Amino acid sequence: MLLKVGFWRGGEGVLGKVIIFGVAVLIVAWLAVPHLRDASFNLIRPSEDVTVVLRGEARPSLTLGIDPADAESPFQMVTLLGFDAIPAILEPEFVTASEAEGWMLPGEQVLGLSINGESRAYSVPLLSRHEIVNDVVGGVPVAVTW
Amino acid sequence: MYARQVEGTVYTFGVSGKLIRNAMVMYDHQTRSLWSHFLGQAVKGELVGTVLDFVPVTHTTWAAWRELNPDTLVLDKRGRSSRDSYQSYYTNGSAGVIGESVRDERLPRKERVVGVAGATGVKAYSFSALELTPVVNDTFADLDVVVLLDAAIQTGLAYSRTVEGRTLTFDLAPDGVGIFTALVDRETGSRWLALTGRAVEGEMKGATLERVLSHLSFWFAWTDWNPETALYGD
Repeated sequence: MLLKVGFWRGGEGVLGKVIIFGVAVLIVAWLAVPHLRDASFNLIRPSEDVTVVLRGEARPSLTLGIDPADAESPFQMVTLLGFDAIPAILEPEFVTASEAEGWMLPGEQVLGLSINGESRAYSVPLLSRHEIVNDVVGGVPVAVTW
Repeated sequence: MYARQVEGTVYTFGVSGKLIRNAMVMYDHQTRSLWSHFLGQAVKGELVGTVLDFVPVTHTTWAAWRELNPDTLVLDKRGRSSRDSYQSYYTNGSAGVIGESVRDERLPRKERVVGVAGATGVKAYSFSALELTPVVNDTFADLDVVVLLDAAIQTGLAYSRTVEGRTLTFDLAPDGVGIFTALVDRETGSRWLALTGRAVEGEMKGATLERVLSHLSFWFAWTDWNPETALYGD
């Protein structure tokens, strides 16, 4: 309480109030926006090694050389960016093929998906900016990943 | 590509900013568990060990996909350009962001491979080998597989050669179907579209080859995840 009073006294005058207001805005923003918090966290600790132990029913065919039942088979996980620094798409919007003709190049790489008679094309250059699209195709919720 | 429903619960995924062996780690918004994109499995958090169902995807060009699926919808780019921010990464010599854990000297790092998974083993087919032999009929790990490179659209594909109880042997057909590469099988002479695996002419017309679990990958990434991999032609 004493500290708080002293703090406010030190903030007398226009400049002091502006500085205090600015600091308060930054603190609130840091608390309220997870993205900023993660980003500043990463400035302090640019990389974090976490050993992940694979448990449960792994896909043995894609992890040959790693026995899923083996508690000693670790994966090193490295942190490069904060959560959502690369923004996944949660509410994808679509256009028809003829509407897209103006801006899709014929040779542009796409990931194509057809489920229950519904088809989608996801531009690979666009996927590079988002890495994940949360979509529902033919009634099936899918995560399109790149 | 994965289904994001597990036992009645639908999850939404975001990008965690973390990597395991240079492959993306996702997180779900519902539990904030971490999931390996390469494994399709939660590796940390409440859902650790949970596996997502794999959904096969077709990697091709816009022109080819539109020709095959005129009714397709297209993810709206809202004015974004067609330049890929990873363009230099695809062709430079670097092994991802954090480097590979084992350097396998059998191929250059950024050589592209079709990596195929059988029940008891995995095998890689390099694009450079497939450029010499575009259609490979192979058997490994109890899997009869045809692996092919569609030169027109620079994509690699792997199908089971066993269809309707018969095991077929495929060659490249001398002529394509429209803009598409076609295969012909020696046993029935039927013609098949390489990109879809569907028979379009002959006795097998209407049959579809089943995609096998496979990844298009760089060699360094494939060997990082599968250090024991066999290599076609090795």
